[in-house]
Amino acid sequence: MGIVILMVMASVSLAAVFLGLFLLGARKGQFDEDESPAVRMLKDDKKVKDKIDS
Amino acid sequence: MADNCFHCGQVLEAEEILFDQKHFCCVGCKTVYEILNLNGLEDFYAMNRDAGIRPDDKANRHFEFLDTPEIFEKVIDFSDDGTTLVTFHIPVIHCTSCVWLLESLNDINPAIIYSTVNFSQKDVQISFKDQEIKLSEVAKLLTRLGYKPNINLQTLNKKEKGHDRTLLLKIGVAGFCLGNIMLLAFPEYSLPFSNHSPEAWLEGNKEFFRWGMFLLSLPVMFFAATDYFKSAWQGIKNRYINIDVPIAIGFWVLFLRSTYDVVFDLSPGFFDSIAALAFFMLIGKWFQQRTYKALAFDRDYKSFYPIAVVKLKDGIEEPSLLSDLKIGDRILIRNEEIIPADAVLIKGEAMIDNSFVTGESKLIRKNQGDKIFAGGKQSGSVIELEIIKDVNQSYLTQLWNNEAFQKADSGLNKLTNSISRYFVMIILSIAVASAIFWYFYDSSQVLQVVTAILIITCPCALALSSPFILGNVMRIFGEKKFYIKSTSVIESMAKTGEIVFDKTGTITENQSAEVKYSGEELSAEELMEIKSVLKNSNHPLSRILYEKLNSQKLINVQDYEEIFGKGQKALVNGKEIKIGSKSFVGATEETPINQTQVYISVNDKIKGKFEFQNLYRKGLQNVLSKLNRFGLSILSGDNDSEQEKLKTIFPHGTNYHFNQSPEAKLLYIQKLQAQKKQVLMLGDGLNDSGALKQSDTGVAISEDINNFSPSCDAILDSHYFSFLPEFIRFSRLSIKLIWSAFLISFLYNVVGLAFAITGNLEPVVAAILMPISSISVVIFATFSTRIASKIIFKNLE
Repeated sequence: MGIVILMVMASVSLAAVFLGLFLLGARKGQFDEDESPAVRMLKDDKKVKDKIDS
Repeated sequence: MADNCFHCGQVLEAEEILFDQKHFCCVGCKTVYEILNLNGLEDFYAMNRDAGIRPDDKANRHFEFLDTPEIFEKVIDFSDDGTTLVTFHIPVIHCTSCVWLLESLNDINPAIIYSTVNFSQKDVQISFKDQEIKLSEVAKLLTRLGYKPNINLQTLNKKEKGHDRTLLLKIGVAGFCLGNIMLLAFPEYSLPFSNHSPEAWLEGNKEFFRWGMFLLSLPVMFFAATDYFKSAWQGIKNRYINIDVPIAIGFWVLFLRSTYDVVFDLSPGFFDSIAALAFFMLIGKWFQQRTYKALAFDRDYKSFYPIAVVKLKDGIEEPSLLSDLKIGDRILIRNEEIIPADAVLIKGEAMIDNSFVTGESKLIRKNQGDKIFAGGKQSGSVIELEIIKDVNQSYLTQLWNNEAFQKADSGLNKLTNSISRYFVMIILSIAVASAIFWYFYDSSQVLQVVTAILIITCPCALALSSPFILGNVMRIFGEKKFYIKSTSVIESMAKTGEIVFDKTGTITENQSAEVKYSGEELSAEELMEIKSVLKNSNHPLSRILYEKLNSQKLINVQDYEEIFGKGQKALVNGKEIKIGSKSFVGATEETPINQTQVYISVNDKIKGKFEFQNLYRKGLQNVLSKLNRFGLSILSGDNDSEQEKLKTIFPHGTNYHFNQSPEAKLLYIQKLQAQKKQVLMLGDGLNDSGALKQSDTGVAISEDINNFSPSCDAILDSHYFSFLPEFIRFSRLSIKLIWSAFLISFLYNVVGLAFAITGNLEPVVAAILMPISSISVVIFATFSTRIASKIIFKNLE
């Protein structure tokens, strides 16, 4: 059943990658504030808006 | 038909401005609408109805001090090469539209490069080109839009507070380890449930799984759970046992026992329980932190003083930081500005509004050479003062520095910590007893049993119950505009035996008053004329009278003149109308000294007068009837003219004390406490802040919670005053709920002990019991507080 061992190691490494990304994001401050990013998405970019309006 | 302002949603009462086919309540709102439209930001209204905030129309000169170099340096975050970064605290931020608008500042003024809102802190960070726009202009723009930045001593000092992200990192690591350890633990767990004998492949490979789990537990033990170890060590060093001591013991016993078992091939080890323990407890901590961040406040006098005043140096006016003021400095105080330190009046007409201090908005005239205390507000033209005491030494802040303020800051969870001492004793005795028993019965099992006991009795559920319940209660209180400083306030509120009320501003309404007119009846036209004159005044009495008078239309007045402290006069429809004090209109009748009167005269003929009476809060009697199991007292800085009226409202047996100075109030509280009574005090002004601090629970009632508030244990929005009895009841109920949660976690411990003492604690049992106990206690805490709040507050909304 070496395959089980291989699969376990594969999934743990994959999880480790996700953990690393999480830690990186947290360090950079992406998780500091979770309410305003939701609103920020709704703003139109000025260039896009002008194009649509004209 | 009552319309609503298109911008801020307020009901249109007196004024109504029509613009672009929409109604607005004032020029301010209309202006914001114009600005938004001009810059293509109409989506603001599409996002939320009535999201606008009515701009404060006064105070537009008040930001000039921001441009002086030393103040500028203190306020900004960073400035270099033409770009400046500043963070403003804007308490009125309340919805997604606010965020949206504040981040679109660049569209309104391109000199602003970008602006980012931090919604939970209610801050906005603005980056702008300082060559094209001044800092004061940025502040003015924000004010015009309705988002006035709050710049005071406290926001200034709050700068150095980096983000603490380690908790989040620890949760991430703990979660990762938990998930993967459980994955690796699974093969050996399936064994008891299958009827086959141990499978060959498992026997051959279990080393891999076990050592894998061991490796994954290392980040948990040496990174994620370290806070608990540090706290336990602190406790032991200081010779007291807090809840973290048994938790730390639990972790280490788990780890050492598991390692031992894996090395000697005795069992798969309890690594998954370690990770689960760490993960759940850290989540509990994170949840607590979030609750506090959203609701916490700690305001003292610094949050109410401005950061700069105008200093007079050799005849030249220059803004100067409050902290730079020294005794002997001359300062200028303008209309509506607060006097920051005890001072002597040098020049000018001083009419001091002490409503912050005494709750009374009556203006007190001061003469040259008179002492004026810090906290008063000037109402009138510019005055020149000489400082006689440092800001820190002034009378009011002295009151704050009174030793009442060194109140022992009991940490949260007093209850939990006191329980943990007994807990540890009991566990140790059980462990010793079992050790002795097993030593004689089958000595090979001793180690296994003792470690099992220490593992399964780890009080994680215990540690989670108090924070979760109290945190939820704090949140529920916050929803009802009752903001408490920390969860220990709930515990002290529950023990209350005596309630002390301040009179002015606490049980009386600050804003409105009952107005009685006596004299010649006024025609509708005269009412309209009077109201039109009143419109031009900012005086609190004028404002109250303005709201009370019934008149739809208003007309323009000519030659309007307001003489502070005396009255106002104007020409309306050819008549000269005077509104003001007795002497101002030339009346001579005898009047009682304890009332406030405003006289009206038309063309020098006295028409009558308006008498202002203090209005007591709605529902006061109802509230008091619910509170009659407590000893009640009223302390007032006023004279006793209201005593008869109060006796009709308050129940028999209430203590009344009038003419109380701030120290007298503090001493009264101390006297009660000397009789072993737990005191809850309700107040509002700075002058009872000493007493508020001294009492076991000090509650400040506030009309506008974004305004100043003294250092107290809780702030209550005045509209929710009638909920006071229910808040106290709820606190008592929460303590009972905490005990129930303790009981539940004890039950799990007992069940677990049954396994442990009999030598049957397998890893799988621990892995099931421990998470279940934590989760069920948390669920119980959450639901029981919700249900309890529904029951208690059911009849009120």
